[in-house]
Amino acid sequence: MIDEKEIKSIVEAVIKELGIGKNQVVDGSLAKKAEGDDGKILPDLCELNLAEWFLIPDPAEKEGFLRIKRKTPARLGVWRAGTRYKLEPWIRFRADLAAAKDAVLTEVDSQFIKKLGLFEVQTVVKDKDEYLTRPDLGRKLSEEAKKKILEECPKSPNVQLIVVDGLSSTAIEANAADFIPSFMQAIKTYNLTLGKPFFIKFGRVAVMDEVGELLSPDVVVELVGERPGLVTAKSMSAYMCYKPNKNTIESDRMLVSNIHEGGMPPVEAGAHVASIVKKIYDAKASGVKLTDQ
Amino acid sequence: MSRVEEILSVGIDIGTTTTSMVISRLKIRNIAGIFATPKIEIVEKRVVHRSGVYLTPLVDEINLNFAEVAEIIKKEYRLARVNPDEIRTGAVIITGDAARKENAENVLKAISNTAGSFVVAAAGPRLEAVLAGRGSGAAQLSKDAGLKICNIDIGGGTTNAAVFDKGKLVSTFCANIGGRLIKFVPGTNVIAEFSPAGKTIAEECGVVLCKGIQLTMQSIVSMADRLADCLLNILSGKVDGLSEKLAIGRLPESPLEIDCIMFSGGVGRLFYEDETKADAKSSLKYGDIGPILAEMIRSKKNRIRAEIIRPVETIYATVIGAGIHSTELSGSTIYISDPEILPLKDIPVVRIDDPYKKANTLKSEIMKKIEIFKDGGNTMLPALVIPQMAKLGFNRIRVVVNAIAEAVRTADHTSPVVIVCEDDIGNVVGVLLYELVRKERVVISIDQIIMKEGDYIDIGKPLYNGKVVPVALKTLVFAN
Repeated sequence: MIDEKEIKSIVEAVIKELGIGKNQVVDGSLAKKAEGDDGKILPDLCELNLAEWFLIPDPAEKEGFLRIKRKTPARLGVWRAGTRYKLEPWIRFRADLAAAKDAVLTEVDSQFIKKLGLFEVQTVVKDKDEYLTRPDLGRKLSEEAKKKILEECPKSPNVQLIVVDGLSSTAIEANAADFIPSFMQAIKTYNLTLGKPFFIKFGRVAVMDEVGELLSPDVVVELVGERPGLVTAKSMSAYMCYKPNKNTIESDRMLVSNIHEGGMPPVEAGAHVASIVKKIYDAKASGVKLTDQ
Repeated sequence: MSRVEEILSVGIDIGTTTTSMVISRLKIRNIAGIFATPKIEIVEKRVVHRSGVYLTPLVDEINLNFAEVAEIIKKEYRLARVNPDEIRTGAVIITGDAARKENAENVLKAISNTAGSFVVAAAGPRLEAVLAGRGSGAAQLSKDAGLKICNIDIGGGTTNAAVFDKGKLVSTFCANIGGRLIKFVPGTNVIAEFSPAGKTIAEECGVVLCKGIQLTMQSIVSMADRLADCLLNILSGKVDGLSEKLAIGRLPESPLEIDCIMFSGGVGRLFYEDETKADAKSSLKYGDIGPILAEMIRSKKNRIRAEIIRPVETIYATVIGAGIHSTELSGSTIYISDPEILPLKDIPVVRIDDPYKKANTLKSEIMKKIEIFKDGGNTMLPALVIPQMAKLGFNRIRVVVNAIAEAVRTADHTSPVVIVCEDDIGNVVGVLLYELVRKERVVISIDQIIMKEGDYIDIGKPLYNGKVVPVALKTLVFAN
C-alpha cells in the first residue's frame, strides 16, 4: 500500500504542475472558502448547522418542522431535485462521509501521543488494510510491544489507562487531551494508584485482555475511537473492565460512549469514568456482574 | 428497563381566601440506554392526595394563624397516610394578600419544619403566576403543541397571568383583580369586608362601600363588569386609569400575541361552569363577587383575540404547580464530597461573569462577590455559578477552579462550597476543587442548571444512588 506521505507528494506534484492553490490541499486542512470561476466566494457547506438547514419551498409550517428537526440529527427537510438530493445537501453528505472515512483511515499523529506523555506500541497488525480486514489481529500485542510494556510499566497498579486508535483516530485526537488530566486527577482523589499509561496502534477493544495478563491491574480503562458516523467522526468510548484476562467475556466490560463535544464533554467524562472505576474497584466486579445499574 | 425510584412531593398554597394542599408522587428513572451516560429524569408526576379547600386561617386581618395552618397540614398528612419524613421535595407558597403579611417569612419557616425535611418557602405574585401556569397545564400544552399560551389565574385577591411560548416562560403580569375584593354576609348582599382594591373599583363605579350596608344588585354587577373590562383591557395592552391602579408591577404594553388562553383559579373554574342566568341568590352563594365576575368575563369573551381553552386544573392549579413543578433534577454526573450535609436551603447565588478572564482577575472578582455576602451577615458562602463556556477545555476549567479555591480560602467560615455549572462539567469541577480544599470544606458541585445572580437555590438529599439531587430554584421570592 502506498503510504500517506507518498500520496501527499504525488498530489503536491500534480497541483504544482497545474499551478493552483499552493498548500491548500496539501496540508490536509479544509479550505474554509473556495473561489468560484466568477471570483465569488462559495460558502463552506461543512460550516452549516444541519439542525437549522431547511430547504422545503413554501412550507405550511416551518416552525413545527424545525422543532422535529431539533430532536434528530437525521437530514430531514433538505428537499429534492426530481427523485434525487439537491446539489448542496448531496455535497454535504459526501463531505461528512469523507470525514468519517478519514477518521478510520488516518493514523493518530505520533507527536500528539508524545505530547500526551504516552509511549507507543503496536498490535501484530502491520498496516491499516490488515487492521480493517483482520479484527482478530487487532486484539493481539506484538512480541515487541509486550517487551516494551513490561519494561516501561509498573505491575499491579489499581488502575491502568490505555489509549487505542480503534476505528477513529480523529476521536482520540479530539478528546484524549481533555479526558486524561481530568481522569488522573479524579483517580488520585479516590486514593487509587495509576499505572503508566500508553498508546496502542491498530488496536481493538479486547486488546485490554492482553494488557491485563501482562500487568495485572485491578481495573483497565481503555479509550478507543468509535466507528464514525455521519453525525460525528469524533466520538470516543471509554471501556472499563475488572481484571481483564484471556478468559474475559464481553459482558464483563462496561463503557461510557458518546464522548465528544456534542455528547458528554471529554473533560467531564474523565471524572465520570473515574467514579465508575472506583465502584468497580470497590465491588471487585464489572459489567453485568456489577448489578448496580 | 432501569429501576424506577419514587419520591413524594408536597405543595401547599396559602392564599388570600383559601388554603389547599396536594401530595404528589414523582417517578424518577434513568432514561438513557444501559450503555449510555446516565440521564435521570422525572418521568411521571401524579397527584395522589388533594386536600379539601380550607378557608385561610387568620388571627386578625394581617396575621396568619400558624397553629391552625400547621393543624391543617398535619390533618391532611394523616388523611393521605403520609409521614412528613417521607416528603422529599415540594413548596409552600403564600400567595395573594397573605404574602404581604409582615410575618410571612417567619410563618413560612415554621411551616417548612412541620411539612417535611425539604420543603421550599416561596411567595410573590409573579411566582404564583408561573406556578399556576404550570399547574393548569398551560406550560405543558404550549410545549407539546408548540403554541403561545396565556394562563390567567383569577383568585380571591389577585389575577396572575403567565405566558408560555413553546413551553418557555416569556412573561408574567399581575393585578389586584379577584372574586373576593368585596365580601358579603353569607346569603345576603350586606357588605362584610372589602380590600383596598375593592374600594378602588367601587370609587370608579360611584359606589360607596361601608361595612354592614346593603348593596343593590345593580351596583354589584356594575363593579364586576368594570373589573372584567379592566382585565380584558390589560389583555389587549390598553392600560386605562383603573388598571394602572390595580396593577402589581408592570402590565403588558401591547396586545398579547397568543394562540390560546385559559383561566384557572376559583374564578377560572366558575368561568367554565354552565352558563346560568345570574339570579341574585345563586350568584352570591359564596358571599363574594366571584360568580358575577366570572359571568361578566364570559359575556365579553368575544373580545379575546385567542382561542379559549379549558385548563387541566382550575382551582388547584397553583397548589399543583407548587407541589409538582417547583422541583427539578440536577445533571446526572455531579460531585458531592459529603452527602450528609444535605439538604441545604436558601443559598444565595452569584455568577462568575466571565470564566475566560485571567486567573488573578477571576480570583479577585470571586472574592469581591463573596465579601458582599459576608457583610450581609450570612454564615454560608454563596453558591458560585460557572456560566456556559464556548469550549470545555481541561486547562481553562482548572484555571477557574484554582481561582475559586483561592477565593474561598479567604472566607472565614467553614461552610461548604457550592458550585453550579451550567455546562455538563459538575463532576470534574467538583473533583478538582475538592483536591484543593478538602482539608477545610465540603464540596458540592452540580450541573446543567441555569441560574441568575440574585436567585436562591435549595439542594435536597441525593436520589437514585446519589446520582442526582433535587433542586428548587427561587427566582422570585417576595418579589413584591
